[in-house]
Amino acid sequence: MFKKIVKKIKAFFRKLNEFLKTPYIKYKRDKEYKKRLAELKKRDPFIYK
Amino acid sequence: MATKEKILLIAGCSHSAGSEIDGKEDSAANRKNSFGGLIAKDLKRRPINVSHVGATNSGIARQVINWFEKEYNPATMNVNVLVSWTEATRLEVPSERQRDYRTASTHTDWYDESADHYFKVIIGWDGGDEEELRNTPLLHKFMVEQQPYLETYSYNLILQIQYFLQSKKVDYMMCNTMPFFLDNLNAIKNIIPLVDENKYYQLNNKDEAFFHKYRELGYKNPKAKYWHHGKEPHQLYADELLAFNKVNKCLKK
Repeated sequence: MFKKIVKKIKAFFRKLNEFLKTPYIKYKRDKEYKKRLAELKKRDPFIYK
Repeated sequence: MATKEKILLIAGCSHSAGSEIDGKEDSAANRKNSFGGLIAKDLKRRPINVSHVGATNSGIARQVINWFEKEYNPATMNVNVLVSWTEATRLEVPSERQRDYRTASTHTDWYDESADHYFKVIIGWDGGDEEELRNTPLLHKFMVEQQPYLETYSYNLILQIQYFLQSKKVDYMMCNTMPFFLDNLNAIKNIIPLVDENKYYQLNNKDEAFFHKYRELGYKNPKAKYWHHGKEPHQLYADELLAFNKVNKCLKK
């Protein structure tokens, strides 16, 4: 019984941790994407309308 | 028996069209002074430069296949082909409507109309019409995150054209105006040995691709609005390709 409660509490904190980190992860991914996009634009600077 | 006309078919993007040599996006003088035009002159072949401004690698492959399908007559023509591959991340997506890219390639010697069934996605352009604006952000994300897929796809196009030309017993040479980067991927490592390196100038050498090489060497074209090279880099690159041809005899006089 006690083990089960501890397991549930651990799972709760793991989910809470993930939830709190989500904006940071999104921010990191977005930053990485923008950096990569800028690199590709520099590599292929041509614009065709 | 009448002698066959000697032709050099030149396929590629704006770089092989000689874009902006004289400051114009496309002109007869640009195509004449492009590295392909200079090679044709040296080989005493009539240039048929079908390069499109803004072409993708799939578009370049179609330029070759469709020209042979619609124009080639082996009874009257002796054709050699120069294929210049471009930036691998450029995409062509089947379009919901008929387009007209001829307006960007006004001086092409032959226009591959199949291009008008697609819209182009170039990393530096967010789109103009509704269809482009709707699709481009997602496709830009794909281009950024799936470069390995796109480079592998370009290598498959190279093989497609290599085997196509071999099947027709047509002499050819390939090169890169824009480099490929991911030669350390196992997927690509498995493809590269299938490409005939005696007919591909600087295969797998990203530092030797036309645009980047001469940009790194400091060449700047004051007439260009979009960074395309001027007359001198085209002449120098033509000399490089002709020196390679002297050794490997890809194209014939």
